Amino acid sequence: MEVKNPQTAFLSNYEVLSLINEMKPTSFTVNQEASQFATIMYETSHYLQDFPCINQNPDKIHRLMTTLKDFPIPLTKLEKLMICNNPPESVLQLSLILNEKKTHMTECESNKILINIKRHRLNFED
Amino acid sequence: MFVLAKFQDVVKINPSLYKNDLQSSIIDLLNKKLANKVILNVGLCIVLFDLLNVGDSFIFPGEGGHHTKIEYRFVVFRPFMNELITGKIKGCNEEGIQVTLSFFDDIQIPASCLQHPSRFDEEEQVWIWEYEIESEKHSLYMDIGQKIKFRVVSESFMETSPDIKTTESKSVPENKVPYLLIGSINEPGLGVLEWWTGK
Repeated sequence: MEVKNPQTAFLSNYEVLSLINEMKPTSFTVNQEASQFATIMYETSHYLQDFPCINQNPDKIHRLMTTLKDFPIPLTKLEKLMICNNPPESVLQLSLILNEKKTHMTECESNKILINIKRHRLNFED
Repeated sequence: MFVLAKFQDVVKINPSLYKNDLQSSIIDLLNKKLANKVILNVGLCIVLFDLLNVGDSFIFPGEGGHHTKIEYRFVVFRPFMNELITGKIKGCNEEGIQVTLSFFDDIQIPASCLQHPSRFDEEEQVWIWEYEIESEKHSLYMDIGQKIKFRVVSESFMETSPDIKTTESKSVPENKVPYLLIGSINEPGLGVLEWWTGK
């Protein structure tokens, strides 16, 4: 087996969860030999149930990404991915995601961004 | 947390599987082969994402099954450095805390990466963060089963295939962990979730 590219793309939790849910019906029809497959599928979907991704859909994520474009500081792909997987609820959580960059943002700006993200996060729970 | 990895492999379909269509046989075989396995320097394989290229099938002399070269993408668990992950505390010992995400257990937070100052209670076998505010000491326990948010600081892959040179006189080789993640909670906002939601 050859590894062509260990990292072609990053996936959000939502994408992985929807893929697992699609595959679920087929995984139950397999026999004993595929117990590893059934285990990992069950465990991963069990883990992802605790995240906001169960309430997400492509539209909401698209809207969240568009909002994030208006960030005062340009965000890297990974930071946007972290915000999508775990929307921050406080300035502290936002500063954790942004690491050192946060020191350049005023409190007013961070609060504005949090309100925007919260709006989309509340939309997730619609 | 999850990435897509591209692999290329040759899959053998046995004659017993000829009754099914080629695509589903290939998908089943690849999932069975890689699910829940760690590939060196790639990560923990979860599930097949898609088939990129299914080559021609060849039958070799003396066999009934056919071999097909496949290029495919697999969903792999491989957190990036400095990623924030939430897991559950699995156990504590004097070296640190073990955290589990239900599908992946080998995450350690060494004692040096815990919130400062923390101490280990031998009797109860738990780590306690001694948080001081306005000269008042609060003991925050890190109990088993609690949700904990940590930052990934390093990862290590280890080759775990059996060593041919091992002689009988040597004792059982120590447990080698194929994929190990080291985390840290040494920042405000990290650690047991309950510590920060109430405040």
